[in-house]
Amino acid sequence: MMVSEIDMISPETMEECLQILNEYEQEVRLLAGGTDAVVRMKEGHWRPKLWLNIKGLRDLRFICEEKDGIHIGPLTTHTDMVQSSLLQEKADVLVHAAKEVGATQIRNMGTIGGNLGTASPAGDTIPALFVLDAVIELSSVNGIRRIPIEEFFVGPGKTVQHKSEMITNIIIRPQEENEIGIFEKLGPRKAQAISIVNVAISLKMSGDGWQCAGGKIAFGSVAPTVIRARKCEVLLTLQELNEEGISNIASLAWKEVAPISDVRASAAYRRDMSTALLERGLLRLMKRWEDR
Amino acid sequence: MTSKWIGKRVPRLDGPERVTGELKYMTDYHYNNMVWGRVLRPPYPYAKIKSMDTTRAKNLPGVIAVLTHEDIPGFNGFGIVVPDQPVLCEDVVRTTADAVALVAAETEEIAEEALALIDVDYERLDAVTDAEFAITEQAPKLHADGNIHSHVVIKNGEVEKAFQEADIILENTFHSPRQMHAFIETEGGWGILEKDGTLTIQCPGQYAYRDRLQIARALAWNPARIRVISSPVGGAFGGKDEITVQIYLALLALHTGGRPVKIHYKREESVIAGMKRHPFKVKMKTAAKKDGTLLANQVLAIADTGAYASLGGAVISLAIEHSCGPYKIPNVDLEGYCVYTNNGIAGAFRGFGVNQVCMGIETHMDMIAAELGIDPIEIRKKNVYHQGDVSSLGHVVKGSVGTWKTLEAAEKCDLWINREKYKAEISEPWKKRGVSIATSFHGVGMGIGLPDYGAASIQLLPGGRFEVGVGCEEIGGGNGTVYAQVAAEILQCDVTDIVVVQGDTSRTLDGGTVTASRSTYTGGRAVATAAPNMLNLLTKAAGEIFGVSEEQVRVADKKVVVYDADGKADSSLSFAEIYDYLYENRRDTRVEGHFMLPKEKKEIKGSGGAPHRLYGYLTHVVMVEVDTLTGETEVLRVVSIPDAGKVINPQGLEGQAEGGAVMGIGYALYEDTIIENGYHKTTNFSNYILPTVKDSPQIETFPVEELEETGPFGAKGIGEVVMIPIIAATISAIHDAVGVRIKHLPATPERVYAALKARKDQTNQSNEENVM
Amino acid sequence: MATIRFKVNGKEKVVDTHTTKTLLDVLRDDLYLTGSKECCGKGECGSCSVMINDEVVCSCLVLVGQVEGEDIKTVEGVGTSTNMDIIQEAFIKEGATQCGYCTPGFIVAARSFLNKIEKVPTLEEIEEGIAGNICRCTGYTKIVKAIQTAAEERFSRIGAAVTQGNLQGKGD
Repeated sequence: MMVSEIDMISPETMEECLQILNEYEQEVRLLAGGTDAVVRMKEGHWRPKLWLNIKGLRDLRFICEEKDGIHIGPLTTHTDMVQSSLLQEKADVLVHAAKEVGATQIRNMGTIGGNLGTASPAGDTIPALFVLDAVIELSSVNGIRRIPIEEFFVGPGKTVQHKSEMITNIIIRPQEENEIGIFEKLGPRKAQAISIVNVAISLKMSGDGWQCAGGKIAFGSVAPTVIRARKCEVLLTLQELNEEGISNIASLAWKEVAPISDVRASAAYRRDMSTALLERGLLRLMKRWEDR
Repeated sequence: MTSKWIGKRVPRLDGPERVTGELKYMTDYHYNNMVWGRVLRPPYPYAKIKSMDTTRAKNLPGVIAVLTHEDIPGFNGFGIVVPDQPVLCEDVVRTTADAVALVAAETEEIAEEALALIDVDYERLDAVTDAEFAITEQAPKLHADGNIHSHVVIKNGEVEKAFQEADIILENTFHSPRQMHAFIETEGGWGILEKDGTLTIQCPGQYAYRDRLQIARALAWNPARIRVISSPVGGAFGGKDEITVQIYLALLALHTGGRPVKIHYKREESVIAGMKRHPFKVKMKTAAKKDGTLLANQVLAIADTGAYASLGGAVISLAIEHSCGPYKIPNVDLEGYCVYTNNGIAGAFRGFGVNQVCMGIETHMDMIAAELGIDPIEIRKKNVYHQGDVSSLGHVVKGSVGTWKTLEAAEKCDLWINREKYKAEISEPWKKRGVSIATSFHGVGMGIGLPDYGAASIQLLPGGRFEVGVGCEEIGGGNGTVYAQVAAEILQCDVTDIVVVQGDTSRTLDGGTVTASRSTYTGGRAVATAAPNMLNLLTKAAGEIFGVSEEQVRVADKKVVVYDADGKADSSLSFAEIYDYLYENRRDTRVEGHFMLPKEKKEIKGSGGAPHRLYGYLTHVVMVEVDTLTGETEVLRVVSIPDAGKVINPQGLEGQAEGGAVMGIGYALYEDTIIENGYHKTTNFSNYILPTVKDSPQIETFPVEELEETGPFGAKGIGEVVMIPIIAATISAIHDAVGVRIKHLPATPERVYAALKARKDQTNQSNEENVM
Repeated sequence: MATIRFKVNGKEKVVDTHTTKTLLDVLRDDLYLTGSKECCGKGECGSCSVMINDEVVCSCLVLVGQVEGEDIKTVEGVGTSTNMDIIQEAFIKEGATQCGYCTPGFIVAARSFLNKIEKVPTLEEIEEGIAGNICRCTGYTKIVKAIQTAAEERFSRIGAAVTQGNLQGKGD
């Protein structure tokens, strides 16, 4: 199918959008920021019969705190997240991750919903959403279901989202007092880079020392989907996070990952970098904790 | 004499149209009745074409023409030196960069669809993808004469004897990347068959007259019937030196019923079809005495030119000519091969082979200095040649030589003096810093055996302004402003009174290429040759008007002044008045200037064009910071110390120095076009890693001016050497920081990390051995 | 085919086109605004930068069907050669343009950056503002300097305007 043969509908309400998703019989795809979707269209991978352009659904662009957590609308851009004082205060790891996405133009265009929908194993915001226990709200004409992020992805580019569904909300837990987070990324350069390996860390510190009361670690680009590093997480609380403790924890990271080799890096390097980034992230976090 | 314009930071005269988007590049033009052209490329790197059928494509509604080799009226080939690249392949394809057929259609999409409907039956052949294998007897022969396109040798002294007498010998092998020009404007342009039967090709290039000849040869046309407009150019760096799409445009334009045809590559097509820098394997063996005196250098360089020659032969010649650095080495044995493979196509690229060999000799200089405990600047000063000395090639260097001065300036720059202090200022505990230097040189102009001349025209315009016409295209460097400065200086007017026209066979004279670091020298000198003729024209006319002899008339400060017998200014005429007089009397208002570039008389036997008469020189000082956890390298500071002779426009020179430095950093750390088994793995800028602003350091430029007596106001050239020594300096700085030497570029985080890990493993192992 | 209406550089535009054509192609082919360039076509280089409702984006990844009713500003709307913006003047003064093909994208990104800052920015902030734009000629040093120069100019002008305003106030 030629690009000029693809239709586009821009629904004015979410209800209208869900209706179309439900009723349209040929291939339909959601189009928001376009940073992935338009690239895939140009490359010939995505040539749906219809683009459902939801960029104009302004109601789906929000960041607010509710009883059950912080709600982030799927059309929230990366720039919105970087600039959100609520997220800066209670989801610093997500702010760091959003800052590392592409560059200004891409952050202004790309949305968190799009990042989840395309399900790239290298997507920078996804590890951060993992450590913030994100829940993805999927809506269709038949109702709403909420999926914990760890169950949302089933493989590279694949999620549990049905054709008739769209992401309508992302709910994350606010970080607690004394919880600090960081996003570490290794790319081939410092801006506009696709991650070779990335890791999100969020730690709950106890008191003033280097003792951690618990934390979460999630790696990207080292497995078919983002993965939690549960063995390392267990170790976080067993020893002080001084240089030696950090080195011990990080040295286990390679066991948690299952990377592949591709044009960007070898599997062996990615394994070692899981350790390196976890070490660097923890060192930087502890420095920040010390300087606070 | 104080200069009014030479040496001044004159802002670019074409600045306003560039910063507002008003400047029309060739790919920005629009014609209402246009059609789109596309090129069919083969799916295999090496295959026989058994048959071709264009019927289905021709029958697609909206398709205007489908052309194959059968539609080429003239010679089916192009190539600057040896035209071995088919315009459209006939019986064999040798790279996925080849062109097999052309389509013109009403829309770009229809053209694309038509490409898929051209039926080509291929028989796949085993691709030759390793340059060293390509030289062997077993390798399939890609061209009738075999796979060695060129072989150059320079020998001097007795190398083996010197190796026996040496106190220190180093031997290493260096691999260099297939760098992509990555000009921001991809290849493209327009072909228009005019109503009078002439052809206009609007297509960015680096030598309109030669492009015209290559087009004419394929069409079997008289070149005079073809007009090529090749300027302005959205970046070139050598990548638009060869024919890009000009011949395709010309062929299609002959079949569209006079409708203008446009081709503009998407970046993906540019990545595959465009020329790249030759990847080299350089084996180098260098010997020195205890005191640091260089004794011998032995080099074997193998360049992978891909499927076709283009300028590959010249590249390997220049590499060998420069493979000993700007040093006096009495015994040398230098050998280079340019080899065909099925890996895309390589051609001209800023630096032209010198980048690859400089990495070898400068790394060895650094290693010798370290091993002997000599300061790295001192050892270089000890070995450099000066003007009038005999170089490693055995010829007397006649042009100006600034290496010594650049090294002295490096020694005195803040970064070098205070390097230990700066190295200690690491940003995080697991990072390490290093500071290093390297120096290099680069020939200006074509070398022996190639035509090399300059020409410019100056025309007096109504209102008293001047149009300066120079063939050399504006490819970004700001040569147009330089030409205006030279003209204004001699014609004693404002630079804003000069209108510069470049790169148009109907409006500018043939003055050679904008390559080989030659456009300031050549264009500047051509203007400086033409300008006195304009002065004569002005004074002669004024003499006639006033009825006095020419000797009593001089051009001064925007007018022509008549002096009385006592030498006192009597009366004057504006240039506008002179123009009016000439116009009314049907007199010519245009002058020309021509000259030949100075060349060495005798070619070094077997060298393929060495030596050059002129060289530019440059020393870089570089500071890096390496993350020992990940292997990431960041270049933090660069000091660039060029000797370009007289600097005509310091802002323009800095622009070259800064841009060249970052391109060199890209080569050293990030950039490589990956081709596996003849197929490009690199597709676009998502996986071709160009430095962004965040990867680029603070750059300072301190020119030393070793005036060149033959150059315009003492100028030489600078366009290429600006990116050369920084490569070796960056890699040596990594060594200074963390103790590992990367010999396979680019030094990606993964390669640096692997080297660090290997060293750690080795240390652990040797520690264990010690314990045992 | 569809009829799409939107504003470009303050003027209403009506374009008949297919909705999946990129905004960049519409600007260049239908509206003859060729200042915005295509270089990579994939959002990697910033040469096609335009502002949509004051936010800088890559117009090569925006489909024209998505901009119905939006307000778009291209390099042509930032300033013209007879009436240049301070950022354009600074680019010329500092020598920040060479081949110039990336320059319009930089001008748009830099103008958008200057619109958002509230004080003279640090070098890091400037770098962040233009990290999505690739330049192959300049090495960026002079581009960063030009943005710094323009920012200083902007805040000194604001300062002068404030001072002048106060004086005028006294006069009344």
